[in-house]
Amino acid sequence: MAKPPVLQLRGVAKTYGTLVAVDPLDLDVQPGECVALIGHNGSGKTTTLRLVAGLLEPTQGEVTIAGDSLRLDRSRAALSFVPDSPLLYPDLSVREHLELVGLAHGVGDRLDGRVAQLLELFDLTARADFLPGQLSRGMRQKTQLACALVRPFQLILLDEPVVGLDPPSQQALHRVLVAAKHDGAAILLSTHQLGFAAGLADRAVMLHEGRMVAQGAWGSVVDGAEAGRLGLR
Amino acid sequence: MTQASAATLGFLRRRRRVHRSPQQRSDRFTGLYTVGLYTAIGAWVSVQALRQSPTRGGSATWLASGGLARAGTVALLLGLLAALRYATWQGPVVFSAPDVHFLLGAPLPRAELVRDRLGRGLLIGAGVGAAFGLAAFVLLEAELGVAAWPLLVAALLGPVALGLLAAALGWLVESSPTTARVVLRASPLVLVVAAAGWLGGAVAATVDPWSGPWGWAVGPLVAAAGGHDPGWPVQAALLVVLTVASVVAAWLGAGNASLEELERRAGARVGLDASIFMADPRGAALLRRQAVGGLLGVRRRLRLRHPRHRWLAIPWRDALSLLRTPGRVGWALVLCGTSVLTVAVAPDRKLLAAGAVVVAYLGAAQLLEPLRGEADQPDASRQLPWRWGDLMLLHTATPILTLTVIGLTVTVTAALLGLLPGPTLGMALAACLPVAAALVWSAAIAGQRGRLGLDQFMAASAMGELGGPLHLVRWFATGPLVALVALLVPVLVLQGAAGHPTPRIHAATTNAASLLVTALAIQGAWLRSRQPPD
Repeated sequence: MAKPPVLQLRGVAKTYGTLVAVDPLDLDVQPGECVALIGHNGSGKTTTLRLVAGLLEPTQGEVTIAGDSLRLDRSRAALSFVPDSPLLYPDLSVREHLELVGLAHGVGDRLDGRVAQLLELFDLTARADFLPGQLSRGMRQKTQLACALVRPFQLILLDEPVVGLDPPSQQALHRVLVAAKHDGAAILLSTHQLGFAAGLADRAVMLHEGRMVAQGAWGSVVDGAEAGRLGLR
Repeated sequence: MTQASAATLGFLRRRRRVHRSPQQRSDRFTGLYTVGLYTAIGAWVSVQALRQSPTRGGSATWLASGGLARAGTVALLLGLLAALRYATWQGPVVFSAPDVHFLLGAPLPRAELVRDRLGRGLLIGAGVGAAFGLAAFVLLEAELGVAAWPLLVAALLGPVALGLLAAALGWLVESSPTTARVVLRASPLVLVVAAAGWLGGAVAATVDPWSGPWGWAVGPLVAAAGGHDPGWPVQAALLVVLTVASVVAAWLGAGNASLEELERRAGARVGLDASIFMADPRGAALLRRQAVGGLLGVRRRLRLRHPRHRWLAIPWRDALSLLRTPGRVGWALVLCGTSVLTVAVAPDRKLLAAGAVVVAYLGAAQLLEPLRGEADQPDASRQLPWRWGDLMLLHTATPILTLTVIGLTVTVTAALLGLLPGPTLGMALAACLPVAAALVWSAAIAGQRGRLGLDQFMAASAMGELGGPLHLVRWFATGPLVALVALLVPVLVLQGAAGHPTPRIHAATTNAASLLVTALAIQGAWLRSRQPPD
């Protein structure tokens, strides 16, 4: 029997008055699957991710995570989100951010080891006690990514995750996400970096002006006629 | 609070405290000390001035015969409206952006996290109410000389309860975008009700204390101040019951707000803090507009066919802007309407006339948004073929026309209500255009300077504790002061001739008109000579 999807969108739409940000959208993401949202600026990728993250209320339709409504604490425990710009406390160090997230998500005794592992992975160990104001944009992005990965999750949402990252960090992130997929986590990411998504995404969803214009296996969508027409290749 | 929430919040507080530098602690202490010192000195000086005032007791009759009921009710109604409007984009519960991401995104009970802040919001509401009540007590005790303790209790009871009610209702507004939209759309109506409550005379003095919680809060105060309000125990009971019910509803509904609403407020808070620090109300207003715009949604864009003549381009662009934001015209109508009616009801009161000029100025300023937008980014105007001063004058054409129409409408309405007798009506109608021009140009003189720049802020900082605030006050009061100079002097000339023989009135009218025309000429020349802000 097929596993139920981790993420299910049914007729999810978002409008602002007469402006349609996302047309009714249906989407399933299975455990261990990575789906990439691609499209031009303003196509609705970030809005879709924010709807899934619960940061926007859908005008219509329903988002369920592991079968639960987004309003339940349980669904928040299953969901990890990396926004497109780092949101950090100005008065907490890098390490303390990771500890805070681990604490809030009940990571327990494994927390210290997990924090050390992620600091090492993203080359942040030497700056673990720095405050965000002392970090470059790329390092703040790495801190944000480490925060999203320090806690257990069934679904991770990544909005333009590699913007500002150096190539070694991009590779490290790629490795971590591949490992997470193997462990059964679902991934929904939006990106303009098709090279980063190429080895990771199983499926692609192409959005244009808030509408889904193509979806399917990664290769078929990226090499398809619609991608050529929109100049996304 | 669950163990997980307590542990997480405790960790956050402890770690943040560790990173707070001695300098930050010192700055915080200095800030609190300065505010406390200024408040204490201001309060002491005010109390002494009131006690030694030779006109002590001068307003006692007016207060006792319904003035207190009307003034208190209107002030509290406007205060409650301001609190609820504030809750449409900030409110009693505001998280920081990282809090939204890390705390509200975690599987911690959201209601517990909200209650932590809601408790503080309720305390602040009660504190603001208590400050208002104390100020009212000081004023009334000095003026009326009645028994102090009952007056103090009554002065505190109503405002404190209303402060709590405002915070609780504020959270309910935060929790429901639909309610927030209702608050925004009903605000002009509330202003009309407030104006009616103020101008309604003896009838209003009787009705106001029963008009809602803002009136119930005033009832006990009126009774303690020696006025006539036999229903005050019922009003006090109603207020307490409503406040308790609202606080309980807010507390129980602490988990109701959507993450979208809380994130919207968190995003606006970052900019608001910066605007407050930089004494930049324009920045705060733009943030508020952006936040509220998201709530109201994008409206279908109205179109207006462009004119053929290039000199009409700016008035056309300004008309388009007003058509797309009809709320601005609505606010201008309400504010100018209140102003005209106030003068019509009490034409011989100088202080009221001055207040009416300031209120009308605020109404005119509502129509000048395109000019302000131009001054916010003066470099953009380099694409246009006009000098800065000419451009500013062009930006005032549509607002003057709009304000004139508003003035004519309100004046005719006042006449239909019997507030303006025949000869006065003709003069009022003739004055609409020049008065509108004086108000709009006053607002333009202030608006064309752009936002308070960093250089102005640094200059104020360098002037010390006394000079700095005065410098900022001078900056912000420029527009209203220019309007007062342009309009109040002619009004005072006319007031001085009231009740005198006809020739004296004719001479006063001519003098007032000459003064107004002179003021307009100076304003226009000044505006035309301006250079773009740096």
